[in-house]
Amino acid sequence: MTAINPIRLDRKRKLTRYAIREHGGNILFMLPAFALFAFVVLVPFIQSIPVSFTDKKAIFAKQWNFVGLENYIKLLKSSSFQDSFLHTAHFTIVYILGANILGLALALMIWRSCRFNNVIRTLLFMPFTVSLVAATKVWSYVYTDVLMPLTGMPSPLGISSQVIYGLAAIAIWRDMGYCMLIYIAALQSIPGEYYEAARVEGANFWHEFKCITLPMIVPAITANVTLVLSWGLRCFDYSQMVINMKAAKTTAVFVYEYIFGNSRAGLGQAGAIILTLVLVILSNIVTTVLRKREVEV
Amino acid sequence: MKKILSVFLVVAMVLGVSSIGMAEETINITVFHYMAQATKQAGLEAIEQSYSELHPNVTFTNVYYNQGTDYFPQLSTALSSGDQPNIIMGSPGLYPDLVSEGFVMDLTDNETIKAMNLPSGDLGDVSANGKIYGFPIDFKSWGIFYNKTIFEEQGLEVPTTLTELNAVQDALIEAGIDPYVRSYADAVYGDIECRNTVWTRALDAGDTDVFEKLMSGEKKFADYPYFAEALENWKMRMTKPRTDDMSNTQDMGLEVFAAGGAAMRFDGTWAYGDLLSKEPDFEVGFFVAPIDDEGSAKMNVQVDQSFMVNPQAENADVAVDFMEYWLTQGIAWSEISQMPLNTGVVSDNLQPLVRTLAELKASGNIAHYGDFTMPLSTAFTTAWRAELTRFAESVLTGGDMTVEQCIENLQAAFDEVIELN
Repeated sequence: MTAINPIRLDRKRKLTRYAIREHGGNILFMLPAFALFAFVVLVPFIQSIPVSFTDKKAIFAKQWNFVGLENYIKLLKSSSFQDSFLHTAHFTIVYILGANILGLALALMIWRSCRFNNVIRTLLFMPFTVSLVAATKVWSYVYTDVLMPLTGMPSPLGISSQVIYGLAAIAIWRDMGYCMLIYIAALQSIPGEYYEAARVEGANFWHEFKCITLPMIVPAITANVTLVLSWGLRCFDYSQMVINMKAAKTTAVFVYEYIFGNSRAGLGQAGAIILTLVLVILSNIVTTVLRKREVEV
Repeated sequence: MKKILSVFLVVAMVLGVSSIGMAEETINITVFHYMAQATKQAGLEAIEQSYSELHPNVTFTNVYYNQGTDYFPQLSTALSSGDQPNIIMGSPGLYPDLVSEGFVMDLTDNETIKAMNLPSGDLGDVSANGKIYGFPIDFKSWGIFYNKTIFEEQGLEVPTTLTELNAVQDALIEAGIDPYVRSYADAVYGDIECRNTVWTRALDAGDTDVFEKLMSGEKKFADYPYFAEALENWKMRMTKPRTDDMSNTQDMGLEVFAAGGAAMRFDGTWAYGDLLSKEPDFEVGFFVAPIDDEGSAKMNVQVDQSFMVNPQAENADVAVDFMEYWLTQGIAWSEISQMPLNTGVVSDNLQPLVRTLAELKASGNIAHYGDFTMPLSTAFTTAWRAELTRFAESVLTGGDMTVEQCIENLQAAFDEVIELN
């Protein structure tokens, strides 16, 4: 029998009380949002895990059989599932680079507050308020009716080798304003003395950017990259709008197609779980790597 | 006596009040459909309105989703959540799970359908496992719509053979006119461009089970030479590409065509109403795309608007009654949607082209999808169309995909679906 140390127990009690006092309010504030998240995302996801081990066909089917890991094995061997992952990765890389580089470039141009910059910021942020489907629809006309007559080039949405870039351009146009705002907030928090000191030492713009700006905005980079990464890996709407193009089929569309369109709910659910696992693992890796960079700074 | 009389009067009053209450009970019928064309939606509303005039207590709620992306997912979600639509658009062959799960009514013994004496193809299109599950309202076909004004200006005749079609295309190109405007952003177009050859040849050869055997893996595409022939015929029509061919949706393509941007357009008859709504004075003609020089091509026919009744929804009897009304009195629908009825009924308000289609169907010299033992299921249709779109892209952009490679790609795509199923 283990003896209980009364001093440790007392400290533990104090710690618990302190923790409740300290974090209780925060937890209470988070509770409504978490409850909603659990209700619409977490619980349905957990409920659907068993379906991935069955041969359930339509989602309204009342009978199905347990098939173990068969769905997972089939998917991992399937070339179209593998292709969908490659398309998703391709889109996500272009999207992350484009949204962040352009967002940062815009932020560097208009981070100082003045009336003109405020108007420009609002204009640049506006595409973010447009729905993904509407953005794709509008851009399909922009590609066909505006850019095609100007350049004589066909719309990238109809060319397999260009469709990912065409879709990524729409996503970048829509979300770079959002990235820009986060970068502006980070840039405004950098003390001006750092730049003054650097200029006294004879630093040019590039030196200032490399040695002061970039290290100081790493937390903003972490936030933007992680966010855009998860949006990119979950990409559904853009790809769905060009459903005809095999070269643009993302994993989310593959999953949707199999669960609903092809009435293979078990198989599609297994795909959804694989996608979720990949998303969680990749997001964690990226966040960890970038956070380490923050610590070094 | 007074007592008996008063009791009788009270009972009569109670029955009268309750029957008034019952008569005023409003019944709402939900119609789940995927009719994208504005003219068809207007036609649906017209037939519903005309039914409601006869039955004032019946109202309708129409729920539209795009067939290529949302329709079946939304329908599945509605059904699994217990939200039961009364009438479901689609054919049982396309949505077999609805049949197996009991969401569509067996109409094999429906007297109205029997009385129509519809041909086997019409009934085949709304049947599964030997039972009838749908009301076949109208039919669709596809072929080449042509701009009559351009043809007249260029002194061109409607071609009846492949050689003649080739000559027409060359003459148009020579005159600096785009022969076609295409819409390959919509998956259906590659599909219908091949059907004329495939359906005609397959039915002539007695291969009514061609799709069934391809889906089961028992046969390969290479076993049926007419798939390669269909691709060759289509390739021949993909001459002088436009830069918008791969990115045009149906609507974009129709706009270009109605504006005189091209002399011809391979399209389905479902687009005719929308074409006229864009340009009411547009002089348009239609011919079946020739598949050889012997005049073998037959007009393809497929039931277009097929509706199933959900027996698990309330008021299924009213839904059946409405569908019977539509099937027998559907001219109001036809006049607005400009869709030819399966019953063959026509009116003066129909465009001459629609009347011609009805006459052609009545002639019996057609290739009917309903005469195949089984239609391609959704998964196979998606695979088939995606590969055809890749072929179109290669041909139109100067790629190097050959017909043989396309056949191999189609086979690989089907093998993949079989494997995953």
